[in-house]
Amino acid sequence: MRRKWQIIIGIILIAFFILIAFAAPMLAPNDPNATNLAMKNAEPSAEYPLGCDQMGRCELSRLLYGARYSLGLSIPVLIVLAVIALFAGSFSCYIGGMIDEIVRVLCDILMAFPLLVIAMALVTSFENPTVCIIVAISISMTAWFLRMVRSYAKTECSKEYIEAARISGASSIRIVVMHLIPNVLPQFIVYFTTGIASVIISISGFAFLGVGLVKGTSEWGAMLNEARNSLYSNPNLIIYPGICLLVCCAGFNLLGEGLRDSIGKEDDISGT
Amino acid sequence: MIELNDVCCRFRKRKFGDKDFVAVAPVSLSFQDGGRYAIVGESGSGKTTLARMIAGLQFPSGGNILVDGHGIYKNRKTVRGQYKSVQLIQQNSASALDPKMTVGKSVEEPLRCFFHMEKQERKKKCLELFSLCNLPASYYARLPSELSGGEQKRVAIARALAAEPKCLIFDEATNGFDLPLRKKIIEEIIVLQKQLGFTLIFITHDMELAVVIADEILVMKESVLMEQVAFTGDTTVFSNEYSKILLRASGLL
Repeated sequence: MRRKWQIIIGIILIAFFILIAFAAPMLAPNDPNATNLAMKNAEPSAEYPLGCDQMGRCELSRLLYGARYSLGLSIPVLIVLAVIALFAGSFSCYIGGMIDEIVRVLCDILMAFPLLVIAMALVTSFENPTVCIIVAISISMTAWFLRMVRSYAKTECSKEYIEAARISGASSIRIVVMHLIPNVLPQFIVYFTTGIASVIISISGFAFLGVGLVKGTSEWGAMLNEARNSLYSNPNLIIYPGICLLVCCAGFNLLGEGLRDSIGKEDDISGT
Repeated sequence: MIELNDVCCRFRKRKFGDKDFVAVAPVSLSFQDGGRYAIVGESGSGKTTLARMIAGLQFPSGGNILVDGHGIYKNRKTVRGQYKSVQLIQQNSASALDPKMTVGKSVEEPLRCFFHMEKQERKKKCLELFSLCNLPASYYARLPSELSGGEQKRVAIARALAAEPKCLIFDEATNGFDLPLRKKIIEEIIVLQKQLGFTLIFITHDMELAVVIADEILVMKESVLMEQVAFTGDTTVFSNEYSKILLRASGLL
């Protein structure tokens, strides 16, 4: 396990940001949305540890609350999607035939549209921007997840133990739940963790481009967007949310990569 | 009794215009209850396909297979019934066991799915099967990757016996084993057969093994059944040229 440190650092970073997201109301020194125009672009002080933004809002509080949007949107949505994709993908793969073909074609169609295009198309049809983002992520990520699950499940389905389970009298549901999913899961978890990182970037990307979340939301991408105007006068406003975004995604990517390497090794050993 | 009437199997070629690939040419034969049979032939001669058809895993392209007078490919229920009465032990026992499931759970699977046993009862029966197949009870909670090749094969046999089958098909049971282990596994299989009285169908490319294990030998070549002889220790009963080639290759003639 040479990659162990990657996993540990990844978990520490993720835990740190999850903690921040949960404890934001307790940790934040000020209301993230309270404007104080007298403190516009203020320097760091005891009351405002990281200074204030161009509207006089506490930068630190906004960063802390920003974690809620990034993690709070991506993790729960992706967990639900992953569970659905895991069951639907392995089941369609095991059943095969027409159903599998329909799932495959559906994935190909959905994957043809970039996430941003879907989000922009949906933004007009939903009043609530959060719902719009969730739906856009669901549409595009489900297709990717399904595709990954199907490709992993395909190789597992061709192995002899699936047939052995069938001779042992196991029903299709039992084979999928007890044999196929446990064997697909390790590789899928790796894909899932890196998927979270890409979704966090996407959410911030939407906010940066002004798609979805309302202007002035304390979301990292939205904060980057607003800070563009004061790039020279107050560059800190760009640096802080940028670092948060970078470190948070790095956490998930490190965990994903570490898991991939250690799981890959385990497979090498048992494969010989 | 298992009867095959003009059973054949063809696989369709992908490219348009190609002739279908004949895996098993129409064959009629019967397996008596409690008999010991060996199907011998070179690689690609259709032995495994024939076995898979008998086990209910491969739908025949023509003809029908009857077990005690009942067709097995009528519907899903009859096919599932066939899984129970004919158990197939696959070639590669390392990949025939779920790598994420303990061997105990794997052996319990038929008990759970065919007999709907309770948890305690299952474990008890599973340990009985372990001792029957010369496996220590401590292996119950182990993963297949922690077992040696011979032990994995024994687990696969235990799982097959758990279904209480009338017929057991061994597909190249001793492939890849060294000679002493091969001998040991064969002896164990013969002992089990005498003890439990199931019909034994042993698929092999090795005439040497076939004459040791079987009292009836079927020789296959290029998807055709060449010869079926009752073997009692006298190699002159083989009349087919190809059988003689196989016997000579094993130094028995």
